[in-house]
Amino acid sequence: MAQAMVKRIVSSSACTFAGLAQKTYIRNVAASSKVAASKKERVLPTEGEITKSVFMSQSTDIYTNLALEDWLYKNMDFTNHHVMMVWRNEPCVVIGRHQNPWLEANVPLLSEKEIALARRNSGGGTVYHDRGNLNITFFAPRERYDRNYNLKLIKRALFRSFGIKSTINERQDLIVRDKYKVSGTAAKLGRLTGYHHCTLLVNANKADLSKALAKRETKATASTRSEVANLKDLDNRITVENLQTALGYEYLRTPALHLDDGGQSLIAKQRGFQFVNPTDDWFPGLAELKNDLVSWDWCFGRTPMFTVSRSFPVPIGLLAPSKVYSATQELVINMTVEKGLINDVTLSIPPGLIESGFHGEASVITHLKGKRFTSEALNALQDAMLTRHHVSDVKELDDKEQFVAKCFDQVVNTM
Amino acid sequence: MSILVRRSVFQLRTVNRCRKIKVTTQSARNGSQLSYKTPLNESLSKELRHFHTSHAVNKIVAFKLSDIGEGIREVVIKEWFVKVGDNVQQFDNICEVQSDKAAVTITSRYDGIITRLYHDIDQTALVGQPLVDIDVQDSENDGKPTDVAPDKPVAEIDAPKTEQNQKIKVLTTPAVRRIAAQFKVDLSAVKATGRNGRVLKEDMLSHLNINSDDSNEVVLPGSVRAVEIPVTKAQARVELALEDKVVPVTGFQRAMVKSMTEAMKIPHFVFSDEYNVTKLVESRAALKKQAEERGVRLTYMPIIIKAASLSLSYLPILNSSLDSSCENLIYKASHNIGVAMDTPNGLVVPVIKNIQIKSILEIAQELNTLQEKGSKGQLGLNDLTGGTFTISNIGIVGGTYTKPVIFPPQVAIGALGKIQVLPRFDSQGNVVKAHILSVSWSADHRVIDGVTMARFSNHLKNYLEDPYILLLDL
Repeated sequence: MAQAMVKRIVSSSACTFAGLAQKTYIRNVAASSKVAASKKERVLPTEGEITKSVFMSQSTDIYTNLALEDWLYKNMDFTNHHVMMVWRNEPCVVIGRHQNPWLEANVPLLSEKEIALARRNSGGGTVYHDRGNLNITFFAPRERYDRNYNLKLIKRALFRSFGIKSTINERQDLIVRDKYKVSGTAAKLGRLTGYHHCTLLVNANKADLSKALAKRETKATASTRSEVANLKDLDNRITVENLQTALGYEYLRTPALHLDDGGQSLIAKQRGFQFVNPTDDWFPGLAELKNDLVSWDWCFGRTPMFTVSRSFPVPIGLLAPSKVYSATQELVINMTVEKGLINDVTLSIPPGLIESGFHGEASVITHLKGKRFTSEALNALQDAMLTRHHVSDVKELDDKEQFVAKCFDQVVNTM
Repeated sequence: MSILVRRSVFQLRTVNRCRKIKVTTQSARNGSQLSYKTPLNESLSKELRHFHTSHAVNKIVAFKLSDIGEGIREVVIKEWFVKVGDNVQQFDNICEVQSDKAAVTITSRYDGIITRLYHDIDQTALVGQPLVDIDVQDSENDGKPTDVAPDKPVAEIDAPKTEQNQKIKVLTTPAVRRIAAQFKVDLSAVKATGRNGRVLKEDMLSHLNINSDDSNEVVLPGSVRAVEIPVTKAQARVELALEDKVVPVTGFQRAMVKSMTEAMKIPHFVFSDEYNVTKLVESRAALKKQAEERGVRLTYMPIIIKAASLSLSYLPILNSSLDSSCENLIYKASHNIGVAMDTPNGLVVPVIKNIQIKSILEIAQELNTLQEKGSKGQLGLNDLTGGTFTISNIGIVGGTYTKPVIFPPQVAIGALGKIQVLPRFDSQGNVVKAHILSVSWSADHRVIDGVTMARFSNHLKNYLEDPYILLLDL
């Protein structure tokens, strides 16, 4: 009696304090299942009590979709309700939580081609999305998180609907014909909820894919490159739409905790497919999540600290004439970039360049510090060098300064 | 409902009768105990859920990395959300780890203060091994349901004064509430700087204008530090001085740690001398009046800086910079002299650029501006970088001879002591009153030798002992 009383007090206060979505069916789903959320008291339902839904996102904007994924992860209770979300995006590159965008993708090319760059919340490597790529996110309570189950489910769906045989390799990628990767996987686990998302290449533009993803190996969470293939190459009938449907039905007909075929009868007991329109009206707080994901500070500023070091041989024409130098004169630039901002710049200027009259070091270092590691820094640098000419009225950089500016340009833009 | 209330009332009464609630201080652990008066009925009617039923303890718990699942044995720490000294609640985020492709957010199991982080970013942590040490102030609630939202304030049994504030729900610890009650401070009026708007003890102390204990700070030679006299009430002093304080090194202090560590790699040598600045003192009096008419506050510093710059023109090696690999010595063309200043944020060295082309009045003007900016904490990056030489006037606080620390990548620095009035012999052998300024110059012995420094000092001495000579070179 006392226990029940306590529970009721707690749950009523929980509802007032929960502050979830006020308008939608989601609120009913979430609030009603938020009972006694203290970790020790969490009771997980039996398999028969769990229902499943398939959410289909109406948006093709990567930031909105990532924000939606994040919103669901943070605000929804999946104890009794497992969800699979399917979504796809306009061309974009998505890097893992702790990766370095400059080392993973060709950043200047992306801005040129207007391909978005986003950083997701889960770990793992970099992927390229476009409309021929399907993304799937499996949401479940933390204790019920099972990556293997999810991947096997996809494998079953591919076979059942299209007769495509696939295997799961040791890195938990989906492989077809024993060597082509068609899917990449990543996950995020929190206290109450965990999600596992993966991609499926159906009809992606492989040329654009390889151009957008740079070919360097990195220090911050390395991406492992593999050869990829589109599912469409294996079976012409497959499209993103019918794959979505096939996966959805497979998800609904499989019981929540073990792989089996529950058939049409099980599908009938589930909640089915739902179109989801990710707007702030339906998901209060979504706009804020999206703004964070779009911001430069998140995409680029979250990069773990890294250093860049390049050396450039000085062309003979810029050295002081009529002097013989023993070693090749090299300009060495070292930069540490922290949080996406240039933190420390060390210039090693060979004597040849100093003697021929280059004096810009101080302004170089002063004006680059604290700037973002983009062309913005270079513009600031050029302006700074120009203002040094206040004594003489020359409004152009002399060739030595131009050379130094070009070297910096190379360091920033050709990673 | 009534049964429940009665049971909890009973338990609370026993708590207070049988145990005195311990405050988390070291002295408290040694035996002196403080107890609360609790108006049970009022607090109960408002806060039914919050009560601790267990014995208050104070111990450091090693929070181990729990099993992630999927047979994972080790993970890499990717991000820390807390640091040593932070107050955490149960379910607060501690860190983010990564295991192959899964990013996992680890949340705290306890309430308390972080005392130790076991790993750095990008290091590997093993499942089952400790992750952080938490100083647990109260042991966990056993069995009773705590409230749902994890960032509600930890339960307190409050003194009657702060009950009025419960409507605003200020997050603090019991120790802070006690101080608030003692000094009758409204907690919501105190500026909170802790996480989630917590009022930390430091906030309370600064609100009461009591300064933190800085006995552990090392006073560096050449650094100007204004020591504040604590304004406290006698009782507060006794209680507050009994505790060790952990203040994280951040901001300016952290920058100083970094730069001084760098600086000590340079082999320093010190050359000290005394200048008889009697004539300078006389002339300054007249010059000061002129300057004021032009709206500028003139002190000795601008004159000394200008004289130093003139001396640097004779010995340009002192205005140079050694690069990090010691391969090149870069002779800097502009004399950008930094003037060490003590600001509310700590020691900063703003730079006056291009002294070689500025007049004494212009230097004085700029110095005033920088001082103002410094006192308001508005010094920008431009003001603080690009220096080629530094002068520190520790004499305004006191002292004579020091060993200042060079500011890399410069090669020399000077520290001016106090101008003292001392008896000296003049050229006729009579004892006269003289104004004596003691100076100490530190230089990088890898590139500067004693003779160079001595020559520079003599040059400057010449200018300052006989300011008329400045006319020749200005």
